[in-house]
Amino acid sequence: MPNPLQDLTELLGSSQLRPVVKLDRLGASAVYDLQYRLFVIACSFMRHAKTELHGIRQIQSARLKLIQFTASRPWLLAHLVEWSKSRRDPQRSLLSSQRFRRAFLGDTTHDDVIAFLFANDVLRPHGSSLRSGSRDNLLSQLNDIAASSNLFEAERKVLETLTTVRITNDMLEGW
Amino acid sequence: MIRLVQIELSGKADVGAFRGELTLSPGIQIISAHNSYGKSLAVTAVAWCLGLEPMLGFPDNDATCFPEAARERIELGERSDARVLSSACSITIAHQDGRQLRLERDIKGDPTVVSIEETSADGEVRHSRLVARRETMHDEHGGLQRFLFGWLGWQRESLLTYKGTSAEIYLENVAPLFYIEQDEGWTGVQALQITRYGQQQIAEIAIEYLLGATEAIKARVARLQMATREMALRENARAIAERVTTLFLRNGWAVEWSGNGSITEILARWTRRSLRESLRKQAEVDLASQRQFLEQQAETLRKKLTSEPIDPANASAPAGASQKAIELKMRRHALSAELRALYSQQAETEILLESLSHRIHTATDLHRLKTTGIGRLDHLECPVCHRDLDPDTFGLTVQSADSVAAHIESLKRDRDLVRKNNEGSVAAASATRAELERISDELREAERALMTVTAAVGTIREQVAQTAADLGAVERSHDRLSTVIQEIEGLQGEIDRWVAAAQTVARVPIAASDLQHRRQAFLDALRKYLLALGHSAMHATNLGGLTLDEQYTPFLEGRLLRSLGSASDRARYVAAYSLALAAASNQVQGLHPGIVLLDEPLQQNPDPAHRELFLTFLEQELARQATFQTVIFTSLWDYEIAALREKGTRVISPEGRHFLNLEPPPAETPSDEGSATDAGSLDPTKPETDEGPSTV
Repeated sequence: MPNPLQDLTELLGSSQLRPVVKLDRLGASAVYDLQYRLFVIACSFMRHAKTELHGIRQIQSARLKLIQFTASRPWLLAHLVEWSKSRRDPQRSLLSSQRFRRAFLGDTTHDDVIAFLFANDVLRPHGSSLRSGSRDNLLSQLNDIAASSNLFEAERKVLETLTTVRITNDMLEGW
Repeated sequence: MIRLVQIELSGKADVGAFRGELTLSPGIQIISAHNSYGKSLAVTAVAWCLGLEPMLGFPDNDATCFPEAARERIELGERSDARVLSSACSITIAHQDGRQLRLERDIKGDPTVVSIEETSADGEVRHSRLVARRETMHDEHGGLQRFLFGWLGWQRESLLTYKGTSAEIYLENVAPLFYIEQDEGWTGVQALQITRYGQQQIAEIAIEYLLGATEAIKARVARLQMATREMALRENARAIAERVTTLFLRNGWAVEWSGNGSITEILARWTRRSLRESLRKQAEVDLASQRQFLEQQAETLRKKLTSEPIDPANASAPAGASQKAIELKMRRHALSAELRALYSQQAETEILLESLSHRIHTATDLHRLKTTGIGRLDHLECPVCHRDLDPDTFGLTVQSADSVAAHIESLKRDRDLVRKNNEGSVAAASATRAELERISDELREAERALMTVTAAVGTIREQVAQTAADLGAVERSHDRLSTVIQEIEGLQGEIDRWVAAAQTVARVPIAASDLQHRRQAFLDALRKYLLALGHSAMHATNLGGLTLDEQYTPFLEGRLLRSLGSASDRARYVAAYSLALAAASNQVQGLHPGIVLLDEPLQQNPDPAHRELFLTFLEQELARQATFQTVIFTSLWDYEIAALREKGTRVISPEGRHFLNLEPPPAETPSDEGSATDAGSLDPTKPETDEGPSTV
């Protein structure tokens, strides 16, 4: 199996080239920033969580994970829609969900943010679901700021579109 | 330099004739009268007689710029609603060389014409009638502005419009710098400037014109013309380069012929080598050799077909034709696969570009959050033990604004790289498509040849058919090549013409101008006037920090002066700018007419401090000793008038309730001269009293 890194190492070793890493030109992706993730989770939760008794809002953990994952990667929306449409055809469903499954399993940042929100009592675990905690106003505040300051427009547009896409339990299974 | 000598309004109402006049002196003077006296009538009359109503936002010849009293109903004597039957106004201007000019224009009547009474320095009087607004600058004999520019000794300047056409500088372009009208005039420097005429950089040009920097204006216009021409040339270069690239790609030749960059860069590239040379150098395609080769091939085939002997034992023709068709089919198949791969690569690249664009957008939003502080997380703590919750504990990071900015930069670099790759992939797809079309054509010909050869009976006929098919194919290739050569020659002709045009642009010299010392004089004067008028941001210690940018906008220590200070500083800023320009122009022998008209400077802010500062300015030497004429229309209290007069500042406070008054019946008038000093006349030569109706 070809190993590009090995190839590059050999190429550099065989020449007079000297690799220089400029740290000032490297920047971690915004996708891993806590503030960004909080905004996306807040907007996802506020748009997709259902209101239960006493005004408590609730959403399936896996559903929130899938929704926020798609929201922060709008170019995957078309694939999710295709997956949703092919849910009755197991083979097609498997093919169209491959990209999601592969990328989704590696996204641990969402789990870390959820753990952070549990610790702050913004969200509370409730079986396989998440419920709003005593400090859930943080989520509504962030959602309002995003709307009033016109932030993360593409993400919010995806969240809006996702209200029309059917996400079944079958699609959420295994996660 | 000129000065206003008299402003007069007269007319007939159903109750009799009415009139009002204002006689002005050189230097500074304040016309103080209560509100609704009719000061605006006099101010508007100046603009009207000079044909400046477009500057006030009114259509040509539209007298509605005047208050109703001059047009419809007027309060005269006992009657509060006397009907105006006709009205007109006039202004008298004196030139410093002794000439005098009286301009009269109907308000109610025929406003299209201005009657001129021109008195020469030796007293000779000449009358004429000029058209106020139509062809006002272009009509050599009847245009009012053409006449005024000549009378003032102002030179006409040809400017460039945004459409690329020529236009002149008009009086209404320079007047906003010395005619400050009470409504909009105080909202900013040149607030009444007319931009709808479309002259480029008109605000800067108006200032330079009044400063007498006509050479600088010519240089500015030349630069603009050059920029417009360069823009057109660059546009043309891009279009030519696109056609060249399309032609090359259509033929499967990878030749870079770019129309991007500056004129000099394109010129250097395009004169280095011709299209044919580039083709030979980069794609190793020599069109002349190719044509020669095809001609030789055709000649050989013709010879073979007509005069060379045919070997009856040679049976290889069908096999050769078949082999050729098979090879072409395989080649077409390979090219189709290559094209599919390229299209798929393009589609993937499009998705990648979309994802990069989205990530840039997201990161930009995040950067905005980090730098502006909106959506900043409040202090977060554990609800049980109330200890701070550190995101690090959860394996999370809060990135700094710098880190996000670095990420944005790197994403942008990636995007540029992907875009370039995509462009390369699009070009490769184009070339492959062209090659595929060419191969498909050849395959069709080969299949036709194969059919003919297999249909022929006997080896001789087979060989003849093969040679004939080969000849046909070579001739068609020759025709195609000739067409391409013609296209290349046509494009080369366009490139040569472009190069010739670009070389003339590069050679246009721009004359040096004497702008610098005029600009400096203006800046010095502006510093003095801002300080004297009491602009709250200006102090004796920071005067050196005042600068003018390329658009003559004042900056104080790098900050826009207009945005500094209090609300009432806006009026001081506008007044200082107008007065400084007049003073500087006078100092450098510029083209400023030498009149500054300030309408209601005190109404701009009712705050007593503003009033006090302005009155203090009027008492100062700088205001009183100015060599140009400053006419200020305002309302002052009696004690203010007394204080100003005591300091030697001229204040005219008229008698009567209104500017326009009924004229006494002719029978009762002892002589014509007497009527000039009737009520309603504001003559500074008359004794002035402090008890005049100047209270507000």
